[in-house]
Order: sequence, then structure tokens, then C-alpha cells
Amino acid sequence: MNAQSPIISIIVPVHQGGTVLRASLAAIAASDLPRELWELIVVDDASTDDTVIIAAEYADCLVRLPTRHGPAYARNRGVEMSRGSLLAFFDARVCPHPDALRRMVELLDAQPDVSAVFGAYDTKPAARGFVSQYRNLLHHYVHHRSAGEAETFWAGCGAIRRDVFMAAGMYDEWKYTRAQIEDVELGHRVRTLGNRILLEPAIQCTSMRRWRLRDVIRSDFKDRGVPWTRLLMQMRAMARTTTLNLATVEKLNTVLVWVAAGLLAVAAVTRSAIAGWATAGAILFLLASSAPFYSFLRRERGIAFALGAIPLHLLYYLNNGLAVAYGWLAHHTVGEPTPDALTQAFAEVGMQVWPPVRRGRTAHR
Amino acid sequence: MGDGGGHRATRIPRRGALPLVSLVIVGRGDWQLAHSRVASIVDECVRLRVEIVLARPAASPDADMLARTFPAATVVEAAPDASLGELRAVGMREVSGDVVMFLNDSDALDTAWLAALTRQAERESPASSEVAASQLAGPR
Repeated sequence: MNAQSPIISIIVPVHQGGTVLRASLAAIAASDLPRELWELIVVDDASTDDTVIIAAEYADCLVRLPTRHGPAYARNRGVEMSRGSLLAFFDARVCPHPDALRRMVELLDAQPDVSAVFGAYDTKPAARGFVSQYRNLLHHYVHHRSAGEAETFWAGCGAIRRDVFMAAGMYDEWKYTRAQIEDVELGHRVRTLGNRILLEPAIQCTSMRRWRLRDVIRSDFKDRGVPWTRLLMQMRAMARTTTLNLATVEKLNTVLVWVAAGLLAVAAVTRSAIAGWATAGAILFLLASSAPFYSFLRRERGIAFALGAIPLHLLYYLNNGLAVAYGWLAHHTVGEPTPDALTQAFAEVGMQVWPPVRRGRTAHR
Repeated sequence: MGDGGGHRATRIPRRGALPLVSLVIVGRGDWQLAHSRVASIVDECVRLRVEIVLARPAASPDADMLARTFPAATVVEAAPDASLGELRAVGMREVSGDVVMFLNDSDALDTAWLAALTRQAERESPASSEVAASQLAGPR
């Protein structure tokens, strides 16, 4: 915590960081942006392992939360301790490239009309398993394909101007109490205020996230698909949003995979040759529309990997379709959750204690 | 480092109290530098109730002198060849703060930031909570 104010404050929320955290913080420390221009704030979200000891070796400031509140709350607490006019957020499971931080600063410096920028995974995810490789490469591919103007933000490796972040109302720590789409939702609010967000794939980081199949299914459904659908339904923006995983081709593929599944069921029950051929046609169309992704996988990992990824990719679309259906149903039956009266009242009078009461949604909108 | 040994694994939520602020200062035996750094901030830290922990390598010539000169600070020792990072980790095991700042002897502390943090903490103290709670309750 040097006396000279840094240009950019890096905020890393972490829960049970373990050895992955050390690699991540070491990568940040290796940034080619001069050290006096940035500060590192680690927010420990009630870890019980060695997280705070590892963080202490690298951080300028460490915030320890006694109870777990999720990354949205943790990032907001980190921002409150920060001093930079720019805020960078890194996930504790990524290793930013040495030039990532400098690129963020240079881009925001060169383009005053851009309020936020985020990057992408590189093609060398650290986790070796097939599912981890597929999943991290899919993330890389989606971000590279969507380079340019963005409608969302990504807190895995992104930076935002402090004044814009505060004007947008920070992360919604009340609604998102675990890692979900809190950064996506922040991005929508930033855009609603008329600000620009850029996806710049040259800002790269290495993912260390390990994925198992059940993690993929659960995360895509529960933490991304359903909340994102509900958010878009609430914003009445389901059709017009075409960013990242909501690109037109992604929506088309999700519909196609369910059409194919339906036709397959009909073919199985009725023994109809027409339904069988229609199923094959739908799957062929689906494979053709995903061909650029499979071609990318073939270039990066070979033909066997690309072929092996096809079932996973079909499952991904099936899961997305389920999530959209569930989110739609939840939106029309349960509606949108609101803070309990006490949280809302605390937020409205601006009263906070340590750890601060979660911010009610209307308090910052 | 990273053996999970002595730090407080489980912390009790303290809703309603002030956040504790701790300062860990590390250095490798330069008495003049350490003395001037600690001397420049110790009064402010005591006034703001900031805990100070000085982490030094074992047998460092300045450790004893620092402990005698600055009784408000806690001096802890690490292995003789400990790196600055390892010294920070050793200091971390000693602190009790919710917010922990780290400084090298050669760094200057941003006292304005510290004061702002403390003012915020005072604003959010139990006393101000009671005022706000009465606002919530409204007229009786």
C-alpha cells in the first residue's frame, strides 16, 4: 500500500485458492506494467485453507471476509479498499499474460469513450483432462469470435473505469451470492447507461480451471443458463441480445438440437423413416453450423479431439435449451426475487457494518 | 509457506463491530530504514487503532531494537534467509485484521487512505448503526 496512488487497482476475489492462487498471483506480479502503477487487492471470501498466507506474499492489501458471500460481494469490498481510477478484475483461477494489464491500461487510455474492456483465455489451459480442455477452448473460441463491441462484462480478466463502475452500482451482491453471471449483469447495466465495452482478445490469460462433466452441466444450467435467461426476460432483451453465447448461431443450434432430439424420439416410437431422415438432417445441419468450432479444435488439438468434442458440444446445446425453458418458466411463475425488507431498508439508509450488509438492488440503480 | 499451520482458519463473524485494520511491515535488517519507516507512521497508526506487525529474519540486528523502540508494534521473526514474500506470510500469521496492508521498509504508507478507511469504519460503527436503526424504525 504505497503512498503514491496507482493508476489501476487489481482485485482478485478468492475462496479456497490453494496452489492455483499462487500461480495466479505470481502471473500478476510478472506483469510488464511498472509495479508502481498498480496495486493488488486480494479479497479472501472466508477460506479455511492457506489462501490468506499465499495472498500475503503478493498483495498490497488483503481483505478477509469472515463469512462467505460470493465473488460479487467480495469484489465490491475490494473496490472499496482500492485507490486506482481503473479497476481490473482477475479470477483467482486465471494467469494473466505479462502484457494483459498493460494492454488494458493502454486501451482505456487511448480510447476515452470505452468504459470497460475484457479479454479471453488463451489456447493453453492448464488443466489436462478432456472436459477441461474442451470447456476452456470453447470459452476461448466464443470470446475470439465475439471480439469488438460487447454487451456484457467478464470479471475473469477485465477492467473498467472506477467512475463507470460506481455509477452502474457495482456488482449486484444481493442477487448473486455465488459465482454466476454477476459480471454479465454488470455489463448490461454499464451498457444501459450508454457506455461502451470492448472485448479485446489480445488481452489474454491462461485458464487453470478444472472442469468435470457434472461441473459443466451444473454450471451451464444453474449458474449461467437459468439466471441469464431470467435476466434477459426481465430486461425484455432475449431476442435482441446476440453477444457471446447468445449469438444467433448459438440460438439456432440450441433450437436445432432440441428439434433433432424430438424427431429422434418420434422416429424411435413410430419407427418412421421420414422422422429418422429428418433427425439425421437436423444433426447434419447442426454439425455444419458448428463446423468452424470443430475446425478450430482440430487445428489446436487434432482430429480425434475435435471428433470427441462433438457429443459434449451437443450436450452443451441440450443443456442450454433446458436452461432457457426453465428460466422462462421461472420468470413467468416465480417472478424475479427481491431483497428481504431488512436488507433493503439497511441499503436504503446506507448503513453498513463489518462485514457490510449486502446491497439491496434498488439502492444502487 | 503454505503449510496451513498457524493461521486462524475459522473466524467468527463480527457484524456490528469495526473492521480491524492491520499493517505488516517487512524488511531485511536495515535498522535506519526500518526505524524511519515505523517512526513516521506509528503515532498515526496508534491514533487510528491500526495493529502493526514487523516481520524480520531471525537474528536480524534490528528486530530487538525495533521491539524496544516501538512497544506498540509486534515484532515477529522468520527464517534467517526468508524472502520478503515469506516475511509477509509470517507477519500474516500474526495479524488479526479484517483488512491487512503490506509494506516494505522502503515504502511510504498512504496515511490519507488509511484515515479515509478509518473514517468510513467510524461511520459504520455500532453507534452510527443505532442512529440508522432509529431511522429505520421511524416515529414511535
